Amino acid sequence: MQKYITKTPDGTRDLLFEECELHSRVKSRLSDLFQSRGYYEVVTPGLEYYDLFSLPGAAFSQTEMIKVTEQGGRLLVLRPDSTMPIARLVSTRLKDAPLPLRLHYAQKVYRVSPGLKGRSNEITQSGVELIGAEGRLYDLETILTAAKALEACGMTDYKIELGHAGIFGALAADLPVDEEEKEEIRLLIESKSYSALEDLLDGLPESDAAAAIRMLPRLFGGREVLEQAAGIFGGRAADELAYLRELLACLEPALGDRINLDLGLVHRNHYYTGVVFRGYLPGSGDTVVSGGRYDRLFDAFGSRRPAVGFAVDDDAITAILLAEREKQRKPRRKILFAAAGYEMKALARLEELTAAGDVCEVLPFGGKQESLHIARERNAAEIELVGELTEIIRLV
Amino acid sequence: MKPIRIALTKGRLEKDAVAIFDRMGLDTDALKNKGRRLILPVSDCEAVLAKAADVITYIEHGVCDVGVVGKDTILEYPGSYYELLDLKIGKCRFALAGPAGKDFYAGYQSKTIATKYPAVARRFFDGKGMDVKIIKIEGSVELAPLLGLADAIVDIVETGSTLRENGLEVIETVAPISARVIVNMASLKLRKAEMEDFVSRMQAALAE
Repeated sequence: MQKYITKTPDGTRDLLFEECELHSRVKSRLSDLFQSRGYYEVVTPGLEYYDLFSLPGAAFSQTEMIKVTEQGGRLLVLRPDSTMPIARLVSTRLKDAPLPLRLHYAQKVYRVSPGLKGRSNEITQSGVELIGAEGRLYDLETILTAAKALEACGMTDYKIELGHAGIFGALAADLPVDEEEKEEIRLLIESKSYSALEDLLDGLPESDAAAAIRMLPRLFGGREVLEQAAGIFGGRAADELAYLRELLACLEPALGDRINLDLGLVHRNHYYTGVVFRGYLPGSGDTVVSGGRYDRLFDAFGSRRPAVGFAVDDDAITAILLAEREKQRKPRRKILFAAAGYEMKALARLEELTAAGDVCEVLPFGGKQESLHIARERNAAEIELVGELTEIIRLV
Repeated sequence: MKPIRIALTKGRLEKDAVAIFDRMGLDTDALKNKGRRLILPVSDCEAVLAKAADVITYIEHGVCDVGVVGKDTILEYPGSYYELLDLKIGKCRFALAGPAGKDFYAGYQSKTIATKYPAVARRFFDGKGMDVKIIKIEGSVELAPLLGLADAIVDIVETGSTLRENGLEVIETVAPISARVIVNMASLKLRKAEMEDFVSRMQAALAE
């Protein structure tokens, strides 16, 4: 039998040198930021009882968790998130602590992802939980802290989008469907499957709720979303919408167009009850920040503590920083495209540029689109189209 | 800004998808005369041709922004991406098929199903509360019931002529299939205007 002594388990890997240094830097920038805003650090065990994550509302399916057994035979899991363990900790050792309680963490979570997809089963998250904190002030603070967290890592080009966990529930309650169909509708909204959602809703009697749900996956973007939704949301959904309008009005002066809305944010994170938000960065195809308000999570521990929090994916940010650094290291490569009859002009320019220390090559000109494509294929930073006149095009 | 990158499923859907791009007014010469290039310029965008399941992988990871892929593959490899548009091309269906004239549901014996799409088959029978044995076959699935390996198959059926020639018939439709437009979640959020414009131009090209 082959012994597995030379490789790490699927979905895990070693971090070395530069990547390791960047990873630590991301973690320390985030923890500095959180601490400066009055958060205290906590560390929870890597192993927890399975029961904690099988509470109603826990967001993880059995198949996503890595399980081991304790000596007595009890089922343990490698912590799939930090919010549940922190709720446990607050309900026990910190149950008499004055509220609001500000806690932050930087620790690994473990989730089984489908094999051979290139995803990690081990993710480092830095996050905050603001517990015993009800109302707008704390929602605003938490969303701004998330934005500042991305900025602290040197990211300026981020987008944060807000949604509300109550909107879908309020609208779906008015539909003549059972729980199973409701879940099917939720999934279609989550995946923005416009056509499949319409097919399903076509089979239901027409109603205001059905019309609103039909629109839900399309309602994302800037302020205009509020106007689009205003006419079609009724009842409690209209109240939640009004609340998002308030939040957006407060946040826009600070964050500009980096703050957005997605009313179709109906992700299966069952414990969220109020505002939910996500952050995206260019260079990462995944969500890098995820958070929201969870006012009912503590019910399972027999106390009522409204709370709000978020987690940042440290690994995704490290990957972006690493890619940026690689890009900077590469010499700026230029390509000169010589139009017929201007070969010598292009070659003279080649002498000029290479003498100045640039890396440069010459190719025949075959149309502007074609040149741009070749330039991208070859990772050129800049191209010059050399003809009667010379056109310089900078590529990022 | 990086150009929008499109992942197209090779083969069955390719021609119809390229025809849609033509109607959108995109320059598809490179797609029609591929040569050895792997990344092809299509007007302001770039396109890659890939196997269906890989289209999903590229979209999920965000290395491509927009993908054209069959619902069959989406059902077999669910993941996190947005499915924005039904292109209504490449229409067919998933069906459960077995030997003609035989009642598949009769008897107490648990059934054996041969399929290229184990996840689809598993979900279909889970939905019925039926315990079945699923065997994955890579090539012609119709062969399995003929050889006596399986009681029935779950496979893509277009006209049903292959089934008939082999003495099989459709027992039940599992799901309808057509080509879909999928997009990366972060791309849609970060480049909303561009992406929506592209997808709505695709939609307009369908209506023509």
